[in-house]
Amino acid sequence: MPKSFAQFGIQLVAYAMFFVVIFYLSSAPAYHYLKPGEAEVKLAFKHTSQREQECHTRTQEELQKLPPNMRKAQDCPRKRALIYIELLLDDQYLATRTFTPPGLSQDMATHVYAKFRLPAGRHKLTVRMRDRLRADGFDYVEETVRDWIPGQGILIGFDESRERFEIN
Amino acid sequence: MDAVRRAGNNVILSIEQWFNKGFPDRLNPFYHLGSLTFFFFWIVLVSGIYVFIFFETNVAGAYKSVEYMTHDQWWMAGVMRSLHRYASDAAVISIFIHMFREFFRDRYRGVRWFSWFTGVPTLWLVVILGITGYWLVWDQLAQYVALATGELIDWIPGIPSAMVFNFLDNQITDRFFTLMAFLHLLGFPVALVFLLWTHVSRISKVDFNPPLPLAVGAFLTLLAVSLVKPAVSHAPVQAGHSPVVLNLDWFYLNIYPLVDIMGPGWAWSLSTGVTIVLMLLPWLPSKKELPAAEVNLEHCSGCGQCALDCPYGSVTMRKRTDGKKAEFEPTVDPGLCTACGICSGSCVSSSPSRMPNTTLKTGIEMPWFTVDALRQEVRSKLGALSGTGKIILFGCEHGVDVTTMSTPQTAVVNLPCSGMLPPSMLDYVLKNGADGVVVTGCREGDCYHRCGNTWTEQRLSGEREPKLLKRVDRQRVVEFRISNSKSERAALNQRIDAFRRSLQPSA
Ligand code: HEM
Repeated sequence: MPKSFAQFGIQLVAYAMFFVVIFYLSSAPAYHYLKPGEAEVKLAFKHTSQREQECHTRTQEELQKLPPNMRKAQDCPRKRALIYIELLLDDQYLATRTFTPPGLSQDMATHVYAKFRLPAGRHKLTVRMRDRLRADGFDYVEETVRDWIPGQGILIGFDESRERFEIN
Repeated sequence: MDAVRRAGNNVILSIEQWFNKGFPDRLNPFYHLGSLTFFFFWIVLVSGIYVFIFFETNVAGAYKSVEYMTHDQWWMAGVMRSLHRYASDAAVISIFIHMFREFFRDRYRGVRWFSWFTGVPTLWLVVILGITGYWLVWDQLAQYVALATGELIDWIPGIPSAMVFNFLDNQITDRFFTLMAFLHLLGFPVALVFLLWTHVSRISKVDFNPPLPLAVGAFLTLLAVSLVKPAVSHAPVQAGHSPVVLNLDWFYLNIYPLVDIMGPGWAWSLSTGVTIVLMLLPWLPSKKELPAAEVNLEHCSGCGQCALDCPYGSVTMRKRTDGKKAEFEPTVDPGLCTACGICSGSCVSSSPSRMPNTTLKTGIEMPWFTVDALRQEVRSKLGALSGTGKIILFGCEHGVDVTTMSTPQTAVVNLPCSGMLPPSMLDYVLKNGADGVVVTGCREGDCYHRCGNTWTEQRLSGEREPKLLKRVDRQRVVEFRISNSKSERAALNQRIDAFRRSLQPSA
């Protein structure tokens, strides 16, 4: 118990500071994850890109050179191509990203995950992907014109069975 | 590093000085930061158990059950939820001040490295506990936290699957949710208890409970925050929505905006970098402790007071090895000894009246500052005093700095800790020409060596062995337990002068 008025006052101030720090920092300052009028695009899917080199069928001669336990007819270099993705808004570049397949031989399926911001409003959104070894052109393209709302979370996935992008 | 520590120490001393005016009698919260943190954890535990009763550990039910607590049962579950949140926040405050204070006061190096080193991982564990707590609400904030955590985990090389995919719209499973709940409710708390037990395992007589008035004050403040600003959730997770404004709890979730701004790689580098520097701090540069206490068995009665008084558990008793009648003898673990000299002050054989004409040996003492050396210093300084109102001022290296205070009437003897002073020394100096004795030490409840000033106070008041003899005139002994802040240092001279005036000149 405080013994004097001064002590009481100082204790009050000290507890008030404790109060204010917790009161404030437990939820403020507010963090603006998206700016007003922004929507977010998330690219999120798993995709196995094409092998960099085509498989090749070994000739009889080539097979003979191999030890007996390794004589497989097909020779498939394991390395897979980088995945290159472009995102366009009203035909202007929004972002480009390259993903390297994981694994020691870069032969595994790639988890593509990336986030971008775009202004809300009516816009054409285009996503295109190259997944084989070549310098230009795209293997998959999808585009849609919609009214994007502020705070919208647009999820772009890839349907492996239909081999096409899905924009949700 | 020295300059940083000194500057920090000055700042913290002046803040503490201000608090000392309002929180007297060992109630300064700065002196109870560790035990206050434990107290906050108790609030977190009790409120957590209550909230768990109503919490549904599945994706569909979690948000609804928390909403029920907050709005329908606001008067109990809602308050408990708020207390759970705000006591966790309070713990972060007390932990951080505790850490900075130990650093500024140079109590993290040498033998003390262990407490520091094991303290650092508790920071991680406490923060992870807080993060998983926010996760359980499964609102938009929780999803944001989950996704950003996923990004952090996925960044770590060698993790094959993508954790972040688990938290995209409609992807989270009850199984994963249950795992998080298990970690928050049991896994991490158990790990924290274990880590904290390790943290204090090398020191003895740990204060786990703050003084009652402080605990009451802190609890009422948290209750007030809970009532004025009840903890609420963000909007529920909704597919196709990204969060716009997030009301982050900055005590726990501060890393996430960094992840957004810098990317997970930099966020990892920053947090692990800071952690590594913190953990290495005791060796940047290291501190070599003075040689540990030494036992002189031929002068030891085996009473065990030194072991009882050692604040670092460095002195322990074992079966006697020298065939003397006593059953036990003390033994010193140099790896735990901070060379405070408290054991030497606790030894009955440290009486300066013993062996007056030969080298004084005592049961346990510091090889670099024996009781004999102390007696010699006292004798020669006493001899040099002149005038009336002659005073011997025993200083403590970590309390107020008295080294510049000697005058023709005041002799200064500096000790590593006021606890090193055998009470019989006071009797001795008063019998040998001093009119008064002043003992200074760290502030009450705040001994650099944890217990020294408390033991001295108890020895002088006759509550603890070795007691100050009854025949000593108490009017001629005064104890000032003050810190080394500027204002307290300035006031000391006046207090000593007042004491001198109060002394009757010895006949
Ligand atoms: C959950 C968090 C923590 C709790 C509950 C806690 C509690 C305590 C307690 C009760 C003591 C003993 C104080 C005494 O009786 O003298 C102590 C000592 C100490 N703590 Fe902590 N602590 C925590 C975190 C930390 C952290 C993060 C650090 C620094 C990185 C740290 C550094 C130290 C040091 C260096 C000491 C030893 C002081 C000495 O040897 O005299 N602690 N702690």
